[in-house]
Amino acid sequence: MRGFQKLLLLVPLLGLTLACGAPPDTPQLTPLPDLDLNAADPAARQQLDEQRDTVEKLVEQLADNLAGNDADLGATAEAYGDLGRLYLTYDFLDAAEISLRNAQTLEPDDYRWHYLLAYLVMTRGQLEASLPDYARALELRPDFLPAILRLGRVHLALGQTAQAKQWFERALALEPQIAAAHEGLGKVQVADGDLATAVASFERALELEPTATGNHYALAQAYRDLGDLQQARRHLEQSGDVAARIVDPLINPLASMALSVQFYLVQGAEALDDQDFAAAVAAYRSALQLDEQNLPAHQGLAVGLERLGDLVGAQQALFDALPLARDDDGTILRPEAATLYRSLGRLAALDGRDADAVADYRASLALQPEQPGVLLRLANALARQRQFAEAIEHFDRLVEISPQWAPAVWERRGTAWVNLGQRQQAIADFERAIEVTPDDLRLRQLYADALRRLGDAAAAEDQRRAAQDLEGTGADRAPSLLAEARQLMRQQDFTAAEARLRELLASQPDAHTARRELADLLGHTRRYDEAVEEYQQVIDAVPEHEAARRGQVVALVLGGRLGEARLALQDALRTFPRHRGFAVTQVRLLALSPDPDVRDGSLALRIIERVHRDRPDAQANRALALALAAAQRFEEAADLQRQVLAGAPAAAAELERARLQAFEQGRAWTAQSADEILLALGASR
Amino acid sequence: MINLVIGGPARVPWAAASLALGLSLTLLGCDGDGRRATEPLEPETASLETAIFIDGGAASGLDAVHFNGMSGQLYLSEITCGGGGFVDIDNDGDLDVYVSQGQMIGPDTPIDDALVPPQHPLPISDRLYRNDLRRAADGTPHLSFTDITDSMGLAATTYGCGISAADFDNDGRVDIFLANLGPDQLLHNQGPDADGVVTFRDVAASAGVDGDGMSTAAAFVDYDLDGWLDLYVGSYVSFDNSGATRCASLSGAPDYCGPGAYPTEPDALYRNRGDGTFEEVSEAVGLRSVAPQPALGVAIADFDDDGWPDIYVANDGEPNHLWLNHRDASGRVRFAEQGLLAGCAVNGGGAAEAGMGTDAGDYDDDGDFDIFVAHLIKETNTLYRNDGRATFVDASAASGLGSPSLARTSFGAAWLDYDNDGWLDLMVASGGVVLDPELVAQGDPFPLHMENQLFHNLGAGAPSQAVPPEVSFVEVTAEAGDVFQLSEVSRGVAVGDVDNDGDPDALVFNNSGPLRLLLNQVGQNQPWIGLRLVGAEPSRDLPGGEPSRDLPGGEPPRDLLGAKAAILRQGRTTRWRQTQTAGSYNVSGDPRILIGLGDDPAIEGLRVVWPDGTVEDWLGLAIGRYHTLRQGGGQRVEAP
Repeated sequence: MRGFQKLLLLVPLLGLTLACGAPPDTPQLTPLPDLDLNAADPAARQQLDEQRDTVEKLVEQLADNLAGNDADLGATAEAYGDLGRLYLTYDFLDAAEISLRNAQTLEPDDYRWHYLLAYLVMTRGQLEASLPDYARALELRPDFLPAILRLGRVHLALGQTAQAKQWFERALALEPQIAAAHEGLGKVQVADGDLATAVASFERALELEPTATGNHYALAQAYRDLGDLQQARRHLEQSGDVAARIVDPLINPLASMALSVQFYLVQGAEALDDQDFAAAVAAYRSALQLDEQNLPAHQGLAVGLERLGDLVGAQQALFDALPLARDDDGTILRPEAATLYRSLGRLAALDGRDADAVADYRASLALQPEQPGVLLRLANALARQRQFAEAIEHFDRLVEISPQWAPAVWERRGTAWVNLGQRQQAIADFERAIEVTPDDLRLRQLYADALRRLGDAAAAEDQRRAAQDLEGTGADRAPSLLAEARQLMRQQDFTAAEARLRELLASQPDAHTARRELADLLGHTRRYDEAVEEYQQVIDAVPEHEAARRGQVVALVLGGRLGEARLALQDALRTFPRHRGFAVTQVRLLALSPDPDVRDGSLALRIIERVHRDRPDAQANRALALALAAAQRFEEAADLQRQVLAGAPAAAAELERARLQAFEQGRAWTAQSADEILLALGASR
Repeated sequence: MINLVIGGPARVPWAAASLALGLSLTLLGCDGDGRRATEPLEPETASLETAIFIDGGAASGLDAVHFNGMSGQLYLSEITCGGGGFVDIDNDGDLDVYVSQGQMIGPDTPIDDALVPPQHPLPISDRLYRNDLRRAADGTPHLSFTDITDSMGLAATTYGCGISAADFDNDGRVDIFLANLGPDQLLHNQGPDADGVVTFRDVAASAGVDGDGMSTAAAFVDYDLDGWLDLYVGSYVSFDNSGATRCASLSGAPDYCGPGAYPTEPDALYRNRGDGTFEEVSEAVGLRSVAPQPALGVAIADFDDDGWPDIYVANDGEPNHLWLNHRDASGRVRFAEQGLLAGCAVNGGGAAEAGMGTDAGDYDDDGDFDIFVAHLIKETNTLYRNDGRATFVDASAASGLGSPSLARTSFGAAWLDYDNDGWLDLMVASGGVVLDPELVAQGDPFPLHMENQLFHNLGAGAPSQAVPPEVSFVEVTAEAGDVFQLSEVSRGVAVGDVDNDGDPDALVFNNSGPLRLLLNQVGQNQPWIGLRLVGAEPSRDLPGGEPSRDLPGGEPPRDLLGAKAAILRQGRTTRWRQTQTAGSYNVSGDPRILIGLGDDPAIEGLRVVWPDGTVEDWLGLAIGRYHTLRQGGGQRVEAP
């Protein structure tokens, strides 16, 4: 019998049973709704079914035990709570609410159920309705900071600024270093018209949490309204949509509860959007552990690895994906193959293998002829190979199918015409480009250079002067330079992107976002040492710049500077003592480093034991096993590794088995690739 | 964002109940020649309830049921569309109704694969309904519609998303642009034929506006103020109907994709050459200076009050665009994208939201145009308050419009002063875009449905904790009428005074569901004044509430979109409204202006600011009726 039908029978029985042996206010449980999970991922379905079965068994036991006792009630409440959290994770909100209300019924004095219910109701958008449960949770646990902060935010969203202010101030009284409280107060102050104080609050929030980029936007708005447009623009350039984090032991773990491929795909896609490439890689790897035939996961993994600078790994991911893009008979490529070839082409281009890039782009276009981006990249690759005539053919085709790409084409095609010595066509293209963007300094410089090469020194000088006239306005152009650089990076034109970022930084050396993006670009193009230097400049200016610190660690590890990576992680952990990603990465580095001077099993063990205490999940288990082995405690390592292996999906089983074999033979494990060390960097965020 | 691929979807068909309802309406409503023949509805007496709105669609013969072509493949486009609008096609002074229709999607997908069969005769085409409004001797309006689809002279059989209506060739007859999934169409109004029947001809190709793609938002706007209406067409994404792009819910079940799964396509601005043709000027005016984003809503207003119409574009999941219309050094039009600094590209938290429909209106009566944008579930709908000169503040929380929207995915959004108290209220139409897993589990055939909402503007005197005091809103959905208790997959909302009784009515366009005509039951009880602002011709007042069919000299001059009007009280202006058909989602609205006077019916007159910047006053106009004001017919005053 499926759990639901059985439970329908049990619940009235439970109510009756409890009523016989318990006080008159016997708890009454609500039956769980039936959910058709047939279309869900098998792993997710199994996870939900198992937890529901657990609940069902406990309810049965409870019903069997006429007297009832606290232990049974507690265990059943816990099981309902776990089920509720799972439903919440998968967005089955009605089922989640029933589960959590049952948990609350069984354990009315446990703050967690009130808090989770309030969070659920808030998630539904019923802000007013969430207030009583938040309040009750706080009655039961007055120092529970997440509830205080969420209450502040709920009141803020309801336009109740006076109440919001009280909650944020209460949070700060408990913990003065909470960025979310300063951020909230800033918003209250804006609503109250006190912009100067709001600026201070937002700046404090950013000091405490530089990644909370929504505060840059708030600062930009505040400065704009204060009339300081320069500051407003400066903050807009750095602005994003990330709110200050609420470190929440009840809600944060939800993200790691899900076991569906789709959940990890969404996580990966969001991480890619956030440019958190290590986290994206971890998410896609998790998806592949559940389904190694998942094409989007391979694709996403390739993108993440590429952006981390691991071109070989990215290429391998795409090669793994290509067979999956064939139809059942194995011969006809599905449309997804066009994307795979496109990505392979990008990787080849990044690696300087333009001939391979051309072949891959052609394969992609053979499957999907009208891809403007691929046409542009193919033409660029051909131009780099000095096959200008053919490049021009593809530029022409691109403009034909997508006229909106014309501005991107003109300057490139103009350059190709210059190389073919076709003066008239070259000038026509450059003139058209300049007409559209007359203030583009770089274009003027390019045109001046082209004219010089075409032997028109006087016209070249005119363009050079026009460029000089534009140079004075570098600071004003910062936002557009950054936008251009990002656009160019998307187009894989890293040389031009780097030029834009350097131009921006020349006028605004303290533009940390631009500098960090320059560092990312350098890492992406395998100039790891230069990347490390740029990251360091950001870190010197903003020690709490988490993204810069992570980028620097990645660049150091990929660049083989493992000793410095160890120091960088040590420093990062001083700044972010509770950062699980840094901690686990440090453990893996200390446990797996091929450099004996870096390897330190006992230190790895000390760190991972703390992490493991906080949350003994699969990630912590794997790292603990590695650390135990590095500390020569092979027997314990092997015991734990057997558990790791038992829970490992097929895709990871081979590696985990090899590790187990090493531990059983009394050998520690050494990383085979940088990826093994970096894997966890984003996984725990 | 990358495309997510999953296994084949499994879908369940529509419930028999909803199917039967639509079918019975069709069968009961048809006479021998396929036209609707229904008893006229008396809008104000049709219900004894005190509801603000009643659904007068089916009873008045407006029996359109939207067909979206869904076949279980979960194509994004099938849930994106649902629009149409109010269009006075025959210049008889009442608003006729145009309804877009979908088609089957996907390569060679037969009609038999439709999960919900079409409710109108094949071939599936857009529907057009003529308003046969008449008045009883006591002035009571009797509303009835006749389906004239078959006589309109063409079959609009491309997959339709939305429309924009205006007289693009200045011939005095309103034309209709169809934003389609596939080649767009421009239906040129040919006027009445020998039998007096208005017909249309598709001139999109010869006019140069037959762009192919997934057009959604469209708006006519005379951006260069040369007297000819230009056309802005928003594009959503480069939709892929090959079936290759598949998405899933968090639990892995098949689901609709979001826009991130597809490449975006750029919007287009077409300049009207004045000879019946257009040229695309997107690049020349600067619209290509930013990356294309998935556009879903367009609102037009002079946000920075410099005399030139600006364009606001709501983008789905990406920053919205505020295109401010400027001149460059040589006097050429250049649009500059200023959304981020202006404060209306992203919400107050700096986050780009899923912009769907949008509308511009002066909700706080400070003389500038504010912006409302409808968004996805778990996001607030966002009210961007214009603090003058296109400097916006996210006022969603302070106004009370934010939190009530968190539980809904909203599309259509329209300002309307439903109770004629002088303050703009707000109607919001909602319907999801991802399958509600719990409705799926319950076997719901189309698990995207939600209720629509109505918000009442409390005006400047409302109590608020904010400083300075905020104009705020209260949700009145519960009192708005039974039609607001329906849970449907709504998309566009078009506002217009369909029974010419002096209050705003509305059309709610449902996706894969019946069109709803929301007849206002309360506004006509308050004092009001109605305006039609048209080009230069001799001034002429129309008889009370019933504009004339035949004006001397042929067709009347066209509505001057972008013209603004305000009432004059004690030498001051208040209640600025503009002539506009754009805004909301996929719809075209009534170009006439209605100003509620419930707060104080004593007015001295009206002030009009024409698109060319000239200003005129009209004094002593009677209230409780519509007036047609022609440029040049008023008392010229110096522009302030």
